[in-house]
Amino acid sequence: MLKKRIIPCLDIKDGKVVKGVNFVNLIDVGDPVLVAKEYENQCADEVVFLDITASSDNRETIYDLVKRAAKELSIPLTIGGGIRTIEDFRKILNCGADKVSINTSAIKNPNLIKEAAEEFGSQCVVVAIDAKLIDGKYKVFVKGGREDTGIFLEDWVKQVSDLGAGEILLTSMDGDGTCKGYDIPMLNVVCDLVNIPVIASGGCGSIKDIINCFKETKSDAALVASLFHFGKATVSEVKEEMIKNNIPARIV
Amino acid sequence: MVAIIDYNVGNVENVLNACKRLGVDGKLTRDKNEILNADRIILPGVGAFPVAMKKLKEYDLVDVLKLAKENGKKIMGICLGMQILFEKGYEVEETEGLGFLRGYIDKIPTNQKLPHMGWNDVDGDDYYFVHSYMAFTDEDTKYAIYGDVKIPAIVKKDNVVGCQFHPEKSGQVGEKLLKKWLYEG
Repeated sequence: MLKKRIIPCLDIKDGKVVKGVNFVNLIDVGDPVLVAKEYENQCADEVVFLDITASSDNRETIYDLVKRAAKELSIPLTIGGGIRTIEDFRKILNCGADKVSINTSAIKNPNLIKEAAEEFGSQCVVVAIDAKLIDGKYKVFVKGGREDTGIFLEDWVKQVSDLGAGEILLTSMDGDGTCKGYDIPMLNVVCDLVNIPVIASGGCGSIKDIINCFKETKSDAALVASLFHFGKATVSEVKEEMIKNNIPARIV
Repeated sequence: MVAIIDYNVGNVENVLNACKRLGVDGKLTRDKNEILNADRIILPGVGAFPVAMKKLKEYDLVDVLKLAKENGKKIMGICLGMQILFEKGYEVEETEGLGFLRGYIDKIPTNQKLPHMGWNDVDGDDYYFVHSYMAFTDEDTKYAIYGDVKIPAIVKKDNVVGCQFHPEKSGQVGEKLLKKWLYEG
């Protein structure tokens, strides 16, 4: 049986984990590779690095980082942030990333999804979508939720899926950073529309939120950040709770 | 030395990384002599069946691999590398495979989500899968269950073995399987 995945996500700036990570009994860790390896040991199913480095001068740091991470990790690694062209895809994949996540660049040039899927296979094309409820309609946002694209979420997910995306990473901007739980209604809308895997993101504040997400939606995976980074829970604890609730989970 | 066939089909580097982590001398190569003199051969691959076969032909590797197989060399195919071990593929267009294993490759017959992506169990151990096509075969096979479909996960015949999942991306369990194959007599 296919397992529901738990995916820790690290925000990375200039090759370092933003704000650091505080594991239980461990003080501030800044190296993304060390952090990712620790999550792998805790039974994380995949890891996502989201590069938020603003300056394009520092692009090389992410390539070095991906190479180093690929040597150490034996679980899939997704890289997001700053990927705009097919050549960017190629570079990141050649460094050893398994998947590439695109967001704004897909909105600007939807054909990038198709080109990347044809060139490298759908399995490595993750389309990240940030959405918000505006006057009763879900709208797609960019720039960290500051800019309304005017595109309806339902239209965009269908288009993304038709263009050959392998996976959708759906972040509810209403939930992100609130720790009030995943956006169940929004996830259900998207899961019902497409027949590709959906990763839930935004709003996770507790293990219970993850359990609710899997019980109340058809999401295939849950993206988790602060819950793990602040040492409030380990991946293993989440997995134990999933098993108790009859949600299929990988344990070692 | 373990020859990891370098035929320009995606992420072959990670198979090399896994070999290194396991203390095995792996080498990315498309050199005929290196391949024939290697202790073992790994055929990796991500992408589409016809593209993979086209690349193998382009680098004159089809006959080299067939010779290695006849010489009794241990060969492991991973993901797409496993699929091209079969006789035929129907992804995009009908394409002849290497024919080391009986059977053919076609789309996973399911109404469930595709790709079949994530961790699924084979004999109680979870491995990382990502694919939309699968083998239809009567060879010695271990399966993963996806909804109502039995997906061939490990297919074995003599000196040839194919893994539909990615052992190099399957954590400790994957490394254990790879290590066993790399070190077995």
